[in-house]
Amino acid sequence: MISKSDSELLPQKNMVWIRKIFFLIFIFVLVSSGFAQTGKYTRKSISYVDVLLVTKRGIHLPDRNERYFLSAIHDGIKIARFDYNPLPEKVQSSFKNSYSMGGSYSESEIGDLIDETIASELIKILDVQKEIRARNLVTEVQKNSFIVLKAKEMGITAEQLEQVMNSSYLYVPFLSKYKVEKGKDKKDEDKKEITVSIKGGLIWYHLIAGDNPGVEKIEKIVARGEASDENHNSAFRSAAQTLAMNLQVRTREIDIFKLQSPIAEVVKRNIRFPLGKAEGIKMDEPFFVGEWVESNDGKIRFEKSGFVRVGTVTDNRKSAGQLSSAWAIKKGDWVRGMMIIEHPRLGIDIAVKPRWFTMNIEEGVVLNTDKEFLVYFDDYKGGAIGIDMDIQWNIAQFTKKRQTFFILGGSAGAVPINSRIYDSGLDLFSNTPTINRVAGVFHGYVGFMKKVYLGQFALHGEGLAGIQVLSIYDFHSNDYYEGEDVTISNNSLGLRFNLGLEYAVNIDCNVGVFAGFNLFPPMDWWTVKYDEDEVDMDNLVDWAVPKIYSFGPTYGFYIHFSPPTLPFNPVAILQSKLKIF
Amino acid sequence: MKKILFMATLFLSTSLVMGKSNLPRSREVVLLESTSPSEVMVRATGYGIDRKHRKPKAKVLDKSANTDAMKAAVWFILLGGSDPLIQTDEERIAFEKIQKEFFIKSNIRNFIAWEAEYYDKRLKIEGGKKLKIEKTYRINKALITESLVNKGVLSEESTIAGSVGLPSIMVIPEAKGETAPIELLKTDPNLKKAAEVIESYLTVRKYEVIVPEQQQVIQKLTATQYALEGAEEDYGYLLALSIGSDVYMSYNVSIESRMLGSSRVKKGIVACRAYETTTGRLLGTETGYSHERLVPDAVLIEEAMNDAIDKVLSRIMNYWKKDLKQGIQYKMIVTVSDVFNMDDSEDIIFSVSDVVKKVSKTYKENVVADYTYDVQFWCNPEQYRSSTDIYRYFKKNYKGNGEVKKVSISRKLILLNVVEE
Repeated sequence: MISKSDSELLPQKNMVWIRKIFFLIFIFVLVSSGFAQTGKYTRKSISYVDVLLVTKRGIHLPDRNERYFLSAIHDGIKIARFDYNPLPEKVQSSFKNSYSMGGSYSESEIGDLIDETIASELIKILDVQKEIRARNLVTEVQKNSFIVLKAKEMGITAEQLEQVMNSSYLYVPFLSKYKVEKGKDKKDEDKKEITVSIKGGLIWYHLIAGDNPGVEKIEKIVARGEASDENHNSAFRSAAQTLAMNLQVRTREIDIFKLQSPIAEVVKRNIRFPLGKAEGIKMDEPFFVGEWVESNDGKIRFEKSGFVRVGTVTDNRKSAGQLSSAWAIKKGDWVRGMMIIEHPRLGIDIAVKPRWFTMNIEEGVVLNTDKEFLVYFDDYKGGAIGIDMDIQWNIAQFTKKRQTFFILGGSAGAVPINSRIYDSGLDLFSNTPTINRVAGVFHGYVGFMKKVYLGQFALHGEGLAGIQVLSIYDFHSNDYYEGEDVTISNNSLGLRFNLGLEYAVNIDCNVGVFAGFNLFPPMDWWTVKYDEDEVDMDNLVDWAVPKIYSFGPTYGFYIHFSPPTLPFNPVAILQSKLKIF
Repeated sequence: MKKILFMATLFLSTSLVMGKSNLPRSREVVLLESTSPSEVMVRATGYGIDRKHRKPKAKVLDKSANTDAMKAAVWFILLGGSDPLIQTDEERIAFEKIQKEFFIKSNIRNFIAWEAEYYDKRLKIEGGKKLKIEKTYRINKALITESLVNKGVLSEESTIAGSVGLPSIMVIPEAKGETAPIELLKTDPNLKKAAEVIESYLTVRKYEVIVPEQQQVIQKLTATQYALEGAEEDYGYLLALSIGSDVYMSYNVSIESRMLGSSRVKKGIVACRAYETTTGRLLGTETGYSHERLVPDAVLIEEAMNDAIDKVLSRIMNYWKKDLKQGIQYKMIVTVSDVFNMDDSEDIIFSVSDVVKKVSKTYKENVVADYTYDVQFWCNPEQYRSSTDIYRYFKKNYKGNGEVKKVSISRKLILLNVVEE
């Protein structure tokens, strides 16, 4: 039985339930709004503030360097996936004025300053859209005349006003560290090279249009750059380029800017997808493959089930819908409609290779009377151990061949040979030489590498050309060198070939083994290094020259890693090395 | 306890029945646009399940979700939304008998004119056990209708209409201010284009379409209308009455634009209303939108109009089906000459009313004034094929004072005068 009062209450109770259900539906809609990110990447419209914020007191950049720094960053961030709309000068001017008056600001102060100056100016512009809607200006003529009027009020052009209204994201560059080093201790006082270390980044904002326009901070990204050069400006610029290069990767790592796309086709280990040159993808770039999964607690996450590298890049700039392809390295249970998501990387890998290699020395003597050295090498036939450190720069986009790399590397090792250095007549007379039981072996090389993947395994072959340096040390040498430490080295130019088998542990890391052959012939080329200077040293005893060569196999382990950023610029390093040669 | 057992049995049997059913699991479909007179574009959700494997296989889930979405899309045309094809209880019962074979995948595929290459959304749910997809389809509605007619679920439109045929529809732009709609058609190319699109859309579906190109003679009608108490000036209504269409449609067109990057994109918006001619009753109103495109206005108007008109047309057909069950509708306005006094006039109106009762299956009086009688009535089309037949009947069977004279007769409207003999 339902009493009268009960029956009166029923509709109310029902209403409460209906409200609860609607509330749950509302919550569900909110939670599932993450579902919206499951589609293809859509181009973003970007604006920037052309002012460099300095977030640490005491940093003063010359105007020319500041401009260079800003240009480097803007050029670095100018990537194909974005459309650019520079902010009108009028919008930036109040910020510039406040900023120049206040000196340096902390990060939170900068946030407040942006809110007070740029954000307020931008909101005024975004409010125009709101006003257009409120005034019900439906025809093109009405809207245009209103925009022109508003633009005049704000002191900008109608075109600039529309550009801001269409921009979704804004970044502000900042610099938080600027360090110049010439030498740390007494020994380095005469060092000519200047090292510039900088740290900076971008603060990204989202311009929210609609009924409640606003500017919301979405992310702050930070990167470093370091470079050395005899010229301070050159070092700074190289460091700025490195920082810009790193910031580009950091920007691509922001979720909303990451390229993503559904898979159009899966054929064996190959997939095809609708991204291409319009989005700026490049051959060999890595992408994760997976799908969006809603867990039982309602959270949506991307579940990875493998990864691919881009094989062919289609030109979809004029005709949309064309497909690029990628091949699977680690393949899961894939099907059309699953997603690929970019894994932004520099395209430069670091490889570390501990190895054993052949080293031979035939007994002999080196004599130089000018520098007062007599060096005797014992016979040695055997091996040496060392460790290679390579920078593998992916050049597939230039060669149009997958998995091709330019190699720039060096190695350091040790070989157990006996040598005696006589650096004075007394040493010779009393037979008290400096005895080295171990010599250092160093290599510097450039070369080319090609990899062929077979699933998660890869075969690689590389050819390297470089220099081999075997060094011994004379501690507290003769008067000629004022009793300081001196390094005497034998040099040889040669080649090396490696074949390796790798296993892709994950998208960033491969491990493997390799075997190769060293071809460094004996050369009667000697140098002596004292302090920063290294000079050639003639050997007067050409009838008993020690033969130092590496002509035989080499074996080793291989670990390679793809870092998201690098504190140095390998191109700049290569340029400086080329200067030496 | 008994209740629990009963509920459990009911649940079990329902799930068994549902488990074997090949009806779509999903009923989540959104109508996107009407792309052409015979096709509509919808976005359908599909749920994929894999009962065979403990850990669901991606291919199986994908295939199952695709099939489900496809079925849901067709289900929506049949039974979902505000204007489904199957509307009456009889049609629904008839369809239930064939629904199992109808929803066979190979049959459903026949109605898919196009499907999107990519999912709009794809999400694994229930911790990865099920797959939920959203996909866009273009469904050939005309083919579905034809198939249902062949299977006896729906009656052919010509059969519905019988000898009367499909309703004739007058199309006219909405007039604002003092400019007459016919003038607007001549001066505004967008309105002209919209009229052409409607004309094309309706003629493909074999409707009789009237786009008034020249000023119609409606003065008489206007004068008569003004004689009625509370009558308002409505150009479209009067025009439709004078022309004699069964239904008239009015529309307006606007083009909005905005800058997107460096391009100015435009969007067409069309509002379309359908009215019953005899009463001016609103049958349906819909707004159609085009996508934002970088194309000439005419393309946007066509896209937006296609979107709107299909929905409106469905409402018209609903109205027409129901209305035809009562017969053919006519509106008659009888004015009594003022030579008669008020008592005589009342008798005359009563006599006219008597004839209306005889000639019609059913009728509705709109206005009974001192000297005017406005009535709507429905006649058997087999007995009275045209308004002239009705006029003839009136002429013959009117027994009151005076004599019935014709003022004007159109397809839907009969204007009569009772004058002294």
